[in-house]
Amino acid sequence: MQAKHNKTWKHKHLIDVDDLSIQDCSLVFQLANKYEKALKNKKSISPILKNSNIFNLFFEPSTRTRASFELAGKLLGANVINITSEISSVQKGESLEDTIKTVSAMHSDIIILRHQDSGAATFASMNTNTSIINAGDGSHAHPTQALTDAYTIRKRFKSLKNINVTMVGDIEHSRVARSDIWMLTKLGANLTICGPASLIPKSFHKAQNSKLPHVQVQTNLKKALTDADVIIALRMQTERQKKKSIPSLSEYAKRYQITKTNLQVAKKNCLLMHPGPKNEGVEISREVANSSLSKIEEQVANGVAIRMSLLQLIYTNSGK
Amino acid sequence: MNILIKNGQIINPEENQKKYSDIFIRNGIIEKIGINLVCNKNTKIINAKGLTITPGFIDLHSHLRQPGFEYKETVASGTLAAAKGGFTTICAMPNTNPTIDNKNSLEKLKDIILSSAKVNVLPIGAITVSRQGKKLAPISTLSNNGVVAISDDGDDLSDVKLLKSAMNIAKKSKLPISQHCEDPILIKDGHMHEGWVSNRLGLQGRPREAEINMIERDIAIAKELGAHLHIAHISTKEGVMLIKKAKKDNIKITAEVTPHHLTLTHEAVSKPADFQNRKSINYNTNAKVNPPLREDDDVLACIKGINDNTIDAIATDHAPHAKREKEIEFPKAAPGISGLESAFAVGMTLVKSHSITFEKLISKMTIDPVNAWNLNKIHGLEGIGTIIEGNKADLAIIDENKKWVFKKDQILSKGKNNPFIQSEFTGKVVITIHNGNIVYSEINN
Repeated sequence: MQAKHNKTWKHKHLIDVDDLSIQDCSLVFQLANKYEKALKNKKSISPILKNSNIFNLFFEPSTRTRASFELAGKLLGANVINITSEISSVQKGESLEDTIKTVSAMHSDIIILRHQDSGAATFASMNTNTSIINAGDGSHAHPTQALTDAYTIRKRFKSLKNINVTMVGDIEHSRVARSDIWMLTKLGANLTICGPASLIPKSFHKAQNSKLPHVQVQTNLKKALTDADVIIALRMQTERQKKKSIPSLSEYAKRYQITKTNLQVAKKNCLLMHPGPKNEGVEISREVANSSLSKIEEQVANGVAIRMSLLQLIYTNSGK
Repeated sequence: MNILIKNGQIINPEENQKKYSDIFIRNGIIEKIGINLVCNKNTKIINAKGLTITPGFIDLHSHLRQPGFEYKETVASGTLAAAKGGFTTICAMPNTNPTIDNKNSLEKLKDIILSSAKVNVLPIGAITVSRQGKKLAPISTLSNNGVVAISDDGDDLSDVKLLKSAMNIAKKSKLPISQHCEDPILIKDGHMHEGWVSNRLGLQGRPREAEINMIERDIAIAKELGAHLHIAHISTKEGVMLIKKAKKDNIKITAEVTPHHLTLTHEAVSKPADFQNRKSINYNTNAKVNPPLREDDDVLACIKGINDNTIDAIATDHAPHAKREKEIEFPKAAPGISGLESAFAVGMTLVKSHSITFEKLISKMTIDPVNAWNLNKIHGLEGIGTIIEGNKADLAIIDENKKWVFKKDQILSKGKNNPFIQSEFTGKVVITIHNGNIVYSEINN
């Protein structure tokens, strides 16, 4: 695999998917496809990021995103440094601005940032010359997950045009939902969002609101799943709901859990996805989660290829 | 020093008149208004040809931060900013540290004002001790010692029983009770207006119902008790309708709106910044304010409220903050706009777009707020908000056609937090006179 300086990629940072054009997305997918095959066939991968310094700066707990970025960086030959809030000077009261500046000063090429505040990645990008990749900021955005989800769907259906995607769960608090909604509609999917009314932002209901992507809002699960090609179940974010949105997880599961029974109205062989981590036996029944419909593990594998692709595109275009 | 202002156009909103006259000021008092006035050589002459002279502006709502938060603002720096903005009288909110909730802290504040204020500062007292909403402050005592209103601004006084008791006392003391109307439960963890922008940015919203519910409730209580309710910084169209109806029903109610709620919407939070390679939606903390900036319909309703006098005053809600409190992650940023120096120019944008007349703008920044709170009944403030012979000389001299850019490094307030920075404006206060002294001037003649 060759290191190519790609002139069509112009993004220093990746804050959210709405920065990306359809062509940008294709570029990410193409490169991810190469890496996915190389990984599967255990082919050697050229160390395009050799001698680069990537900082994983995580202010919130994470398993898959952090490991995925770390692995992606290492596979491309980068030095990957992990900093989590528990072991950093954040514990001593250091501000995000100072932390970003400190890390930038250590010859960093890319900072991968996960933070609990919406807008943290935007803020970070305004305070450093280092490239920022948003690995999740508050309830705002999770662009690498959205690209992974789009990639996973695309692999099955070739294109997202007119694919019926139904997203179920806590839309209100989910950064994955927001990035997915923008990503999948941009690529042409028909999107339905479903969940308890208290977990769907009111502004999605208002059809006249042209500044948001067009989505169908549905509070009835069966109707939402009818003819779905793809179902994305979202984690119930109990830590962000502060006990005011739903009576309990079991009440939620009774009405919104994806089960074998209610999958009968969806298209046969539909894809079932979940960005993780799952609340075991809440969003998806165990039986279905372990069935052949589930692409949950494939999402994780694809996530590594997508992140390799992004690291390369951003690194080779950051003037280094 | 005596001052002779020559050939200016005088606007005296109380009489709704415009005339070209000279004004002669002796010992701080407007001695004579007339044509072709002459003077002796100990008089400073201001050539006001082409300029407009109005009463000095009056602000019913500002935060001067002293004592306790001198790093944000002091009485000295805040009143310097006020003078630059054309204000000669500003009312100071009591959310300082210590809170202005007892005679002792009020007297100390009055001492600070006496020694450092460049313009009139009228203290507002707290409704409850430490603004905690738990125990009433000694409202009558505060009244007897010179507060012009009471308010727990920054927070809504949500305890209905306390509010009723406070209104009873305020009524007896003839004080307006200025309410920040936002239901604390509905706005908890909210950082901006609940709408499509908050949704896009993944920020918890402060829904319009939070304001509507509280205005409705407060009007009901004011109606029952006959107390003077003042609605601070109205922001919703529904709120404007409620006030309009209450006025029709002869309830003693007044209201103010800020320059920013008359001109900006929640989209200001997502105003794109011009830094490299960034197209994503930005988080503009300078547009973070409580109550939040809302939608187009709300802005239009507020403008209509100004035109039909549902809304009595344009008030700044001047809320200066330090850099480190604003230039941080959006959810952590302090809410508020440092607005004394941009208020008039922002108002002028409405004049230029023919949303309101120039005379209306001046009325809402001078005589109307005076009448709303009966400030001219206060000893020493007789005649405030008007230009008549015998008055203390509090004047703003305006160049209506001056084009200028509002620059951050020219802000005199310690708080540089203002969403209008880099805006191009037409119309500027060029001289401010308070008690016959020139407290701000940018022309040499």
